[in-house]
Amino acid sequence: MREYQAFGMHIESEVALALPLAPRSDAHSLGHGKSSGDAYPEWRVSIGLGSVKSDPTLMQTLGRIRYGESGDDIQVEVPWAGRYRVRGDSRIDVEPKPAADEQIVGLYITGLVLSFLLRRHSFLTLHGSAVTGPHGAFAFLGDRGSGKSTTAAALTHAGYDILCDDVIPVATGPVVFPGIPFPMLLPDAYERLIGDTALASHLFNGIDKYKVELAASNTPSPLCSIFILEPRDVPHLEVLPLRGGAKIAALFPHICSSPGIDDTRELFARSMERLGPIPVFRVWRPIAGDSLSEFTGKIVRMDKGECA
Amino acid sequence: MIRLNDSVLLSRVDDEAVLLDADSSVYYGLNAAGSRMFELLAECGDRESAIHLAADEYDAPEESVRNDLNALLDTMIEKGLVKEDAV
Repeated sequence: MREYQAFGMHIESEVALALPLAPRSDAHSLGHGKSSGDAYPEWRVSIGLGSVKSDPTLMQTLGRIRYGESGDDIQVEVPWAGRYRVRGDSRIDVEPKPAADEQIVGLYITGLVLSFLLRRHSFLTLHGSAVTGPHGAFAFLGDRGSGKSTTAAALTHAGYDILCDDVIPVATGPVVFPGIPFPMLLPDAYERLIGDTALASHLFNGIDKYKVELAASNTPSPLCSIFILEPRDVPHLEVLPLRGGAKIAALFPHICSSPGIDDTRELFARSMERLGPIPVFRVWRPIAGDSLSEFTGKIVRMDKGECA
Repeated sequence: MIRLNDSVLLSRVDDEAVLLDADSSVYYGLNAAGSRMFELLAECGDRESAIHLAADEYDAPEESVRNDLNALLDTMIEKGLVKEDAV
C-alpha cells in the first residue's frame, strides 16, 4: 500500500500513482502559510484492486473510454487499462486489464477518475496550471500549447511554488488546493528553463513532453488571479482585464465538466461563487518572439502591487 | 408577466448579469445598463412600468428608454432566455 497527498486528499492506494508521497506524520509543511491539515478536515481516500463488472449502460464517451453513473457510483471503462468504480467520495475500486502497465492504470486514476471524485466532493476543477506565492495563487488557463505549464515553471525561478498542473481544484473561498505538482514541458521550454533534454530521457513521457519536479507547495492557497493564455499574431504582449459576461464566457471552456455526471446548475453556481469575484485577464502572447520573461515579470509586479 | 425560462440560470458578476442557458450551455452577458433594465423588468413584471422607472433612474426620455428596453427584451425572448406571458 502506498500513501499519497494531493487534491486535499490523503490517498492510500494499491496502484502506483504519479502523485506526491504523503509526508510522514511527524513532518512539517514547507509551503507558504498553513498546512492543509490546519484548516481543512482530512479527506481520506482509498484505492483498491478488485472486481469491477462491466456496465453496458454507460452512456458517455471520451474517444473509446466509456463512463457514466452506475447506480450510486461512477464507473469508467478504459479498454486498454481497466475498469474503475468511484464509490461515494472516498473509495475507488480498480480492476486492471490483464497485462496492463501499472503506470497506465494509474494514469487514468490521476488524470480522470480523481476529477470525478473531486467534483463529488464539491470542488470546481479547472484545466490549467497554478502556482502560489506570498499573497496567493495564480492560475493559468488556455488551450494546449498556450504556455500554461511553461509559465508556471518559469515562475519558480521568481520564488513561486508549483501548486498543480493539468487539473486545478478550487474549493470555496476560493482556495486552490495542491494537485499534481509536476509541470509537463515541451522540449524547447525544458531546455530554456531546466537544461539539456539529452540528459532527461528518463523524464520524457513518450509522446512530446518532459515531466519536471520543481519547487512545489502542499498547502491550499487563496486564488488571487486567473490568466487565460492565448498565443496571437500581435506585436507585443497584452494583458487585458475581463469583466462580467466576457469573463465568464472566457473561463467557461476551461472549467472541467462531464456531461451526464455534472449537474449544470450546480456547476454554474459553483463557478459564479468561486470565479465571479476573482480578477481574470486575457493574455495575448505574440506567436513570434519570446514574451515569457516579460509576462512572468508582469505577474510578479502585479502580485506586489495589486494582490497584496 | 416577464420571467426567466426554466432552463436559464442568472448570476451577477462585476455589476453585470450573466445568464446561462443550461440546455445549450451558452452564456450571455448583460452590461450594467442592460442588467438594470432586466432587473426592472423582472421587478415590475411588465414593459411599461419598467420603462417609466428606467426613464426616471436614467433621467432619459421615455421614448428612447422604450426603444432600448424593447430591443433588449425582444432579443432575450428570441434567444429563449425569457418568457413574456400575457397578463
